[in-house]
Amino acid sequence: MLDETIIIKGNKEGLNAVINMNKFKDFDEMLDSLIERLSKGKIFYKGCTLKITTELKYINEKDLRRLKDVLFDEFLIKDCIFENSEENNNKIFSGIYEGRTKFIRRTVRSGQVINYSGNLVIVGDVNSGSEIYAGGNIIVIGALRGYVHAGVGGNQKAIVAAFYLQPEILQIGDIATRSPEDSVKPQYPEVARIKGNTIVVEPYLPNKFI
Amino acid sequence: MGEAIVITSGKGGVGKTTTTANIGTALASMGKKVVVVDGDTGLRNLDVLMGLENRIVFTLMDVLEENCKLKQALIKDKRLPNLFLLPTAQTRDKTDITKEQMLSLVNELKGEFDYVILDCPAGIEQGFENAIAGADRALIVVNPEVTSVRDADRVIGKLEAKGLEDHQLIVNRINSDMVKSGDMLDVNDILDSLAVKLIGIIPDDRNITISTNKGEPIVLNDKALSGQAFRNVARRIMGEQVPFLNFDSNNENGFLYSLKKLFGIK
Repeated sequence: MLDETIIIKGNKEGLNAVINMNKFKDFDEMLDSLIERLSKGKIFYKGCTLKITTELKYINEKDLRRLKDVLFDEFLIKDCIFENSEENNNKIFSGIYEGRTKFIRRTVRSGQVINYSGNLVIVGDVNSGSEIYAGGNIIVIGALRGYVHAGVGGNQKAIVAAFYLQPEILQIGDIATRSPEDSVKPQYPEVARIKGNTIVVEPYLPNKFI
Repeated sequence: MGEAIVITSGKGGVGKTTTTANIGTALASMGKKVVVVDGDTGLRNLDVLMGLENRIVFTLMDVLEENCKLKQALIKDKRLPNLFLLPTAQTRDKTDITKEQMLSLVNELKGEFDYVILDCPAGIEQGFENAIAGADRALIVVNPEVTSVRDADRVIGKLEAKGLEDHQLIVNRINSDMVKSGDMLDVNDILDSLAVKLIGIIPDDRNITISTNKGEPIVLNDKALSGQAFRNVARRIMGEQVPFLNFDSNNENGFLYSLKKLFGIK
């Protein structure tokens, strides 16, 4: 992750301050740093709603109130919402049977990275040197030669399927493997998934998977 | 308004500069008004291939810094009156030029010439960004080697990311004997993995080395097969439909083929 301690970003919901509590000695140091950051654009923050994303377990009730007081009194912020950053990170995408899916209708080339929280379908090739991450399944209607990671976040039931499955590294959930070297490269479609504790690659047979 | 074409590859030494010189010369010999621009600041070579290294007075850098007019920096070719070279500086660095400067320079050149051929340096850094800034079309030169194909893939991705969608492939240095024996990548293998349109296949030819050293582009040599291949690429650039050459050792140009034909063996 980024080693920045406080990141302030704007999105369509408003302003969001992401605070990494692990980088600070204690709450007071964080508070000083936050005040310093916000002071640079004091007028800008006036009257806005600020969402604070941080590890809430490190902040106790009293400190939380102090933080709110500072934000409301010093910076005249209208509203402040707290969100636990850990909740976000630990959410596992569970829509591998039915859920959000992104279609990519082009060749993914070396150096390109695709990251999606749901399922990914690529109509085209995935060339070596590219990286693909999906929270759910990854289906490639073409040759898969890049780095591929399905079930990012820990979904062990995700699958990776391709017409020609020769990835550099294939990862599902937290189990990774690489293509065997010096063996015959199968020219038929294959599906990779976790069985037991290892990734198993099998020829794609319609009756078996649908 | 002319068309700006960038010749790029990612990997070095695959024949970008040779391709630039030859396509530029071929287009000019077909009556088009052409300028070839050296984008490899600090490591210029296009002037040598054109045989114009002794005529450089002002460079692209001087034009950008307004030390001279654009017309003063353009060098007229020895052989063709409608072919020009815009050389770059050897004593400067690629980072001394910005994308915006290149864009306005290329646009100015496009106003005066039918074709602006830009020679891109190897790599994907500032020099590459500058060279593609004003281009309408990209020709990617690739050798039948895995490393070259890999870098070409990266470059095509970069071009697409920059919004340059019109790109075609030139496969350079094909050796038909090695392809036949399975020691070299086939043109179809390359096309399969890169998924782009093909615009030319250039055979491996010893004459290229000779022509480089002499400063005479190979397209001026009517006998050379590689020259023919470059001329075909130029015609395809102009929109003509030209079939791809057959480089088998017993093709129409071969002595053996003529003998066999004479005796009715085929």
